[in-house]
Order: sequence, then C-alpha cells, then structure tokens
Amino acid sequence: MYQSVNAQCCSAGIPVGGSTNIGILEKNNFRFTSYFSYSESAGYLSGNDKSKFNLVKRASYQYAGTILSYGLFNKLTVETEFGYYLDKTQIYDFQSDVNIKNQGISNGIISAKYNVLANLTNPFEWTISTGVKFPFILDYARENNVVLPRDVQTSSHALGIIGQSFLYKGYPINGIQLFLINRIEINYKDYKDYKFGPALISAFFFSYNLEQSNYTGIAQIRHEFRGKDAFEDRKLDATGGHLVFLSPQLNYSIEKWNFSLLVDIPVYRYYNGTQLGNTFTASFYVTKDFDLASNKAELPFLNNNTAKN
Amino acid sequence: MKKLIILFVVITLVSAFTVGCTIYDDEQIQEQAIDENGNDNGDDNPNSTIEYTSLIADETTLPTGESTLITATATGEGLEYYWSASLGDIVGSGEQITYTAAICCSGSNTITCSIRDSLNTWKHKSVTIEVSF
Repeated sequence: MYQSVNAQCCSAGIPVGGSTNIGILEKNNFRFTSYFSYSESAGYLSGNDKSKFNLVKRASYQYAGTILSYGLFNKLTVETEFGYYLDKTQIYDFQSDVNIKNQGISNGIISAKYNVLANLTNPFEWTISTGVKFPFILDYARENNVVLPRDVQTSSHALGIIGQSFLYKGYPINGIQLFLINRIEINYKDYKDYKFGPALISAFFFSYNLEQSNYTGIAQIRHEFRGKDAFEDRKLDATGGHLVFLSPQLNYSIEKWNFSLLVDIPVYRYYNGTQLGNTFTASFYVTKDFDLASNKAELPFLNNNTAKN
Repeated sequence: MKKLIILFVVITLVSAFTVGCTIYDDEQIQEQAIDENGNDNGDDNPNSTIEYTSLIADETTLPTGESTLITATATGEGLEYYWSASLGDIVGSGEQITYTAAICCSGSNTITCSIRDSLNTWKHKSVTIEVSF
C-alpha cells in the first residue's frame, strides 16, 4: 500500500515521502522498495473553478525513489528514503513553446516507526512515526548560469519534520483490511528565505485480497491540505489549497516480492488564488523483503499476506 | 549482511549530502556581494575588466503571468552573466532574459544579474519589478 504526496504550489510538485509503507517490520528484517512515478499538471484553477489564465501549458515529472527499511526491534523500524528526478519539466505557453527542464536528486527522509498498540486476536494496530526531511542540495539549480524556476527545482533546499499515525483494522475471514493514515509535514526556510507551507494529509484505504490469488485490490481516498508558502515571512496568496484524490491500486505478491501499480486521480481540487492543477500521477512499486533473522511475525498485519503492502 | 546494509545507507547519505554542500558553497560566493537593496556592490578588485553600465527592465510593473525583457549592458573580458530572481521565473540566458511574474508571487520581486570576467572578478546589479494581481 502506497501513498504518494503531490504538488507544492504550481507545478507537478515534489513527491515528498513518495511512499508510506504500512506499519513496521519484524526485528532484523529488511525491506527494499524501489518505485517510479510520473505526474502531470495542466490547466489553471482559481479556487475550484477553471481559470483562463495561461502561463505554463504543462508541467510534468518522472521520479525514481528508493526506500530502505530495517526492523531494529519488533516494535521499532527505522527507514530512509531518497530519490532522483529523471526529468522535471515546465512548458511555457509563450508565442513559441519554451521548455524548461531539470533533473537531480530530491530530498531525503530518515524516520522511525514505533508500534503503540497491537491486538492479535481481533486484528488491530496503531503505529506512529516521526522523521526528518533533509535536502541533499542546498542551492538552487541553474542552467546557463540562470537560476531555474522554483517549480522545476528538485529539492526543497530546506529541512522539514514529518509526523505520522497509522491505524489498521483487519477482517481476516473476509479478506478485508482497513487503514487510516494521517500525516503532517512542516517545512523550514531555505537560505533564500523561502518556506513551503505545511501539509496535512489523511488517507483511508480499503484493501481486499482476491481469493485464492496473489492479487490484492486497494482503493484509497486521500485528502491533502497544504498551507500557503512564505517568502521573507510574507505568505504567498496563490499557494496551497485542498486536494482530494482517489487512488485505485493493484498489488501482486509472490514469495517476498511485491509489485504494485497505482494511479492518483484528483476528484476535488481547491487552490488558493490561481494555480496550475495536478491532473494525475501514476506509480509503479517493487518491494523485496529480506528475512535476516528467524523471528516469527508477532503483529497482525505481518501475519497476513494481504496486508504486506 | 546487516553491517553491509547499514554501511551502504550511511555512505549514500553522507556522500550525497557532501556533494550538496559543495555546490552550495560555490554558489554562495556569487551572491554575498549583493546588499539588502540589491545594489551594485561588486568587489573592488582593481584588476577587474568589468564596466557594468546598466541593468534595465522594459517594464517595472507587471500583472502576474506577464513578462518583460531585462537587459544587462556591460563591457569587459570574457563576461559571463548569472541571473536570479527572488520570485518569478527567468527564461533565456546571456545579456538579455525574459522575466515572467509567476502567479504565486505578487509584490516587489528583485532580479539580479551578476557578471563575472575572465579574471574571476564580479559586478552585480539588481532591478525591482512590482508585480500585482
């Protein structure tokens, strides 16, 4: 199960925390996740109405990310995530199309997940996590000695903190699992005094394991609230807003491999001021678990194949 | 195996962070000489070949989404032009660029053009554009 996090301001955005793996790992277990995302934005919106404004005709990105997770203890998992923009493009709608491209490493995230509650008989779990988002690149990317627009920069150039809650309820007889993830991201200023707004994200997942098969279907509905960005402590009017996504997802698991395909479709978009709207994001994930110990699973979702991602 | 994984993670993070910091130091050099008002505070190197005459915007007030040409006029040996904007987008490069007032960013936006010559001396000028909705 994955949750991608989309646009900041006007572009196709930065997939900060491009994945939210469920729960935690057993002690001495290691998980390698690699993923690819393609996202596109086109058309301006004022509030939730289409706008005639036209500056950037289309924005898109291709992003490849990696997540490494390790079960330090049965109740504590540490995780690191980093990724690279293979391409981040804005096409301006001038008299002739102007194409501005960039590529480069994104932010990294280091986090720790702690299992607070777990009930084996009546499957239920609550796990919380906290982490730090940090930039690998502190300065703005340039091309031909010109600083590229903020929306094609691959890094936020600043530190941030992340907090997350993960609730799980399983119904093993029916092959149904429910998940609720709440996440908060707070960003700090970069050295040019620019600060991305905070983000509050809530995602509800309905997971159903198709009988006698390795396939799992997941439906996710996600609300993202983004506060306004600020420059020199002045809030920027046309940044932030509310987005609701519907994200169908199909998983295929075999032994300790897991393949997952999902699409984020915005079903409600409200932007402060006028902003370029995100139209869709498609992602493909591959996950491999390594059992570095012989411990048996102790948590409910770890005992159930349908919940493994 | 466990030690290898931890080593891999540590090396990846440290090396990537080191690269980032190196780039930052290099870029900072260019911008330290610009004062709070964006005025010309190029270094006083007497060997500088740069005669930085003007930095002029065709329009100094713009509605969001509109563009204006900005031209740097200078003479010297082997000049290179470095452009940056506090907010908004720059398209093009060299002596003349197009500044576009991004829709997010009304208010006073500062565009700076720093010029470096073949002796690695710098001169800087800025122009302010008022952007309104």
